[in-house]
Amino acid sequence: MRCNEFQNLIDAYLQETIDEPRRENFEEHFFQCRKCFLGLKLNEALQNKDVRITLEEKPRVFVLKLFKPLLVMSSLFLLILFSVLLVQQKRQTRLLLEISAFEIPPYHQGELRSIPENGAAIEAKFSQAMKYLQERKFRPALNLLEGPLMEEAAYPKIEFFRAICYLGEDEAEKAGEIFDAIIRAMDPAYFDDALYYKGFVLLRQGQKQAARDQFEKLAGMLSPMSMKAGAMVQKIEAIE
Amino acid sequence: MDGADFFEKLLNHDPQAQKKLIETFNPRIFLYFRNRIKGENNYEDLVQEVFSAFFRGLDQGKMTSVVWIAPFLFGIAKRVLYNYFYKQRKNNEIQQKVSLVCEVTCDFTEAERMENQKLSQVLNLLIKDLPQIDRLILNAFYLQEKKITEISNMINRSNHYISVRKQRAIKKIKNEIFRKKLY
Ligand SMILES: [Zn+2]
Repeated sequence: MRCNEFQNLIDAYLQETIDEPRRENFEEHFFQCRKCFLGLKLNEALQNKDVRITLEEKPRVFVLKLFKPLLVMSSLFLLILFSVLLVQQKRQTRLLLEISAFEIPPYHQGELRSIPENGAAIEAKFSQAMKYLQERKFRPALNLLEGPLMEEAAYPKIEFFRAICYLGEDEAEKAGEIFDAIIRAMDPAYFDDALYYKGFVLLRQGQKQAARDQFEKLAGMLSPMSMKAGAMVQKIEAIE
Repeated sequence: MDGADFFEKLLNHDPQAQKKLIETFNPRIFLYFRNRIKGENNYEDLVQEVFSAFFRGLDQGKMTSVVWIAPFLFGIAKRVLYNYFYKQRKNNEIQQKVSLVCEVTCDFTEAERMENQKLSQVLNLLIKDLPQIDRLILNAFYLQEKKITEISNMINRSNHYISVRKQRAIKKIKNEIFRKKLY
């Protein structure tokens, strides 16, 4: 049995309307095929009503606009704090800044096409923004990500990369706000990534201990980012 | 760990490899029995029997490479099911418990429960990310148990559109789970 045929038979299998020869082929297939088995499990969980499927739109994660004046003030405050830090701990901060250089996270094309309205247009704009980002042109990328169409989409992926842009533009506070919101929303797609890059925000803010704790927390989690986070813990510990 | 390496470790009773094998196939065997035997809520003995026969077969050289593991397990599961239905299960039948042939001790039922719980949690999180239309379709189909035709009338789309959207939504979740290595 091919994977395609398998997918089409899942409902029939779970509702036991499948005929016997195909039922056995179906079972033989899921013993061998990890991907198809997961698809079957997901369907089973849904059918057993083990899952909440809410219809409400996810509230917009960000209320940045409202807090803009506040943010400017706090950024200013942080800037001053940061300058003080620079004077006090020049050497350590230089080292911290050195390791706070971050790599641009990868992105996955196509996901945004499923947004009901303007999906293709949003995806096109997003791709262009990602091109800028790969070249570390943060400002043009940010302009695109905060452009009219994108802002309405309020998609976690867009928010995440907005934060990356702010991080690149050295607006750590803004980046931190966005990452915090993603972490609070426990958005599974960008939860781990947000935790990881929040560590860089803290580094850029000169908060060595907080950054170390942040990376350590992630390193201890069952996460694809845990190895990278562990490496960051070591890097930070090396600065004394 | 590649296939040959994994198989070699299984042959040598490596506990890590045995654990990995059980983790991989326990949910599949459970789902198989769950679907085949209704009204039974304890599958522990049946699953135990499958694994014990598997590890015995492995020791007896019945499999020569990693590609035979899944078909061999499926064959055993079918036989165990057959025995369950058609043969009188004798009380004095000596059932070799998995613990005698496998280094790993395991409560298969509990492992399955945990696995399902974990999957539901992941699913709960990922579903929130789907477009509203997909959540609407999944909600109507699974929670309200509406037929595809009813849903298509409800939102004024073709049956085909609904089926495709439903499948794609699940595929999207599946890909996300693999991408994030959640499963
Ligand atoms: Zn398959």
